[in-house]
Amino acid sequence: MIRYAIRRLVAAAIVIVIVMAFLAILDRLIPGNPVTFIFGPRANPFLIHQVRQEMGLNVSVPVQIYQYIFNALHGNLGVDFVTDRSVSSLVMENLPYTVVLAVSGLGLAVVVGVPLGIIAATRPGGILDRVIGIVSVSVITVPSFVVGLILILIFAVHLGLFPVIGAGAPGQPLDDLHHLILPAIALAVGWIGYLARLVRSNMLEVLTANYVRTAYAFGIRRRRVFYKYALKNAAAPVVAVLGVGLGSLLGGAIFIEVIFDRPGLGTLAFNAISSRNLPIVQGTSLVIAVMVIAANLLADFSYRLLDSRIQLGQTAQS
Amino acid sequence: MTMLAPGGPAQETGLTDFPLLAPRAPRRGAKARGTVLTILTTPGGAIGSVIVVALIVLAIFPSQIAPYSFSQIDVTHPLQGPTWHHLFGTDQLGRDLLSRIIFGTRIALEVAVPAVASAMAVGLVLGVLGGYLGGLVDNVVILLTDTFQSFPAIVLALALLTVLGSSLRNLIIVISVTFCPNYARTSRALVLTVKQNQYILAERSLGAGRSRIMLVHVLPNIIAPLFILLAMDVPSAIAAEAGLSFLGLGVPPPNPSWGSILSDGFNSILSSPWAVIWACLALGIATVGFLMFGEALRDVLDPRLRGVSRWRA
Repeated sequence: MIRYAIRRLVAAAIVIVIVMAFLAILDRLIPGNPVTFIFGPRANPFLIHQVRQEMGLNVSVPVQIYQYIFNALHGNLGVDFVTDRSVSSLVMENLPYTVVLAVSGLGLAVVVGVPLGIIAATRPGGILDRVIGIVSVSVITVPSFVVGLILILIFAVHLGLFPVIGAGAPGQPLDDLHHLILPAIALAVGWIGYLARLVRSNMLEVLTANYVRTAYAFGIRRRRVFYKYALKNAAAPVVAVLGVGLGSLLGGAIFIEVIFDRPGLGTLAFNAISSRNLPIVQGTSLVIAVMVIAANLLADFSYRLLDSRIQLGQTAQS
Repeated sequence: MTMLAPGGPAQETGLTDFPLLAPRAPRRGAKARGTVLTILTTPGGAIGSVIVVALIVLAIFPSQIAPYSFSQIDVTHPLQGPTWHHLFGTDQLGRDLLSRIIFGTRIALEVAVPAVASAMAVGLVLGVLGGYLGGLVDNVVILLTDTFQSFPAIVLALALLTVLGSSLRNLIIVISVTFCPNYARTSRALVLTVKQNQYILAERSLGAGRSRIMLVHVLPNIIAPLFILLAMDVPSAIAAEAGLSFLGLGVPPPNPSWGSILSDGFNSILSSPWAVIWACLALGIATVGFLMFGEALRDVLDPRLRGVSRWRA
């Protein structure tokens, strides 16, 4: 396990370095001169030279990569060239909003999706199972921004129950929560469908296992077998999926932030694009990528821990 | 590398009993008919197929089907609800929403299908090379896919579109880049299993070159599952195109992408919700239809392939 953990950590570190290298030379992908591209018709030779110097473009590719990685490791992600503020402080300012949104979306998905899957698995082929099945297929592919728009249309515009935009006044938890509800639901809906299907199929698989049959044979009540023995094992793969899914969840959060006009990494990157503010796009991409890699690692480790316990339990029971 | 597994059938029976050619399914036509029939007889498959066929027809003949042009402006009737003249109503410039949605089908498929197809082509090449050659090539392929997969698709797309600028072609490239690692991964894994087959070994012992084995023997045996993945990814790519167009990074106006219809409608949502409603419906029906079709195809051909799409958020 320890050897495995070290190998995974090293691999993750290598991937982070490559991610940084890719982001460092992103501006080289711009056809022509990136600085002319940024300034457009306003560019003049003096300005171009100065900005190239500031952006570290007057150096070779390996040096550029090295400098970017060196600076990034020291917490320096460059300077926003519109407001002249440091990108790392901008990112840190906006990061909590995105994390809160993503975590509450994920939490909502688990709280609703897992029970739905269990209900569907109690009577496979029953009416509830079919309804849940159809609903989850339909919500799985519908993109989160579509869900967000529909929610805004119904609950904010038509019923006026929730505010359309913003993240609430700072320092007022209730107001924040009020602003968080619709975005979190929008983010969670697709995952609810996905988790419901996953838990259902896992439950059905686990319920055919020998230890479940043995538990029945011992005269343990159905309810107890279901929730105490089967559910615990059926829920383990959910952990792995959540870790892998955090990436697409964070991606969805970007749309949600833009639609609901909430502050966050998504809004930050989105606004930077229209002003071609590359350092900000690089910084936010890097932070999000590192978060995804870390989540994958965490999910991988915890799944392995859960998994070995399950296998021990299975051999003991069957 | 060991050429023959010890204790395997080769030692008992000798090389003459090896199947020298890749196993070919007999009666291919009959099998294909059976597949189509099975897809059409499951409810999900039938609904999905109808939706997919309808979308393809709309995308090929939009000007024959749509009642108006997608860019015909009528400023005297902006933001109308459904009427007999405009079945879906009009947008903020008085353009017919039904026509715009119909032409939007073309944009959606025009971006999604080439994007996913080229992602599959590139991913397939990377995966086959990495999986078959192994060693350094394989490690490079794994590192590349790991790197690109550690970005959420939308983040990678935003970063690339910032430097490339938005156009139909760049949209296809960017979406294709985000889908590519998955194909590389999947085809690499498939190659690793196909590589173990004895007919590959037989080919090698007959002196076939690596490129011949990869092209003639490995490729045909891993392509079917990849097409299933392709069918499953089309709805995600449609959603991706709509999402990027919604953010204003997609096809430039006045081209009617469902995403830009959504964002126009969102800006005037307080005066008329119809644009948002129709575009959401179109997107919802298209994605669910393709997903149902893809799932039916998968269940018939290869039930083992299940996974999370990166764009489903």
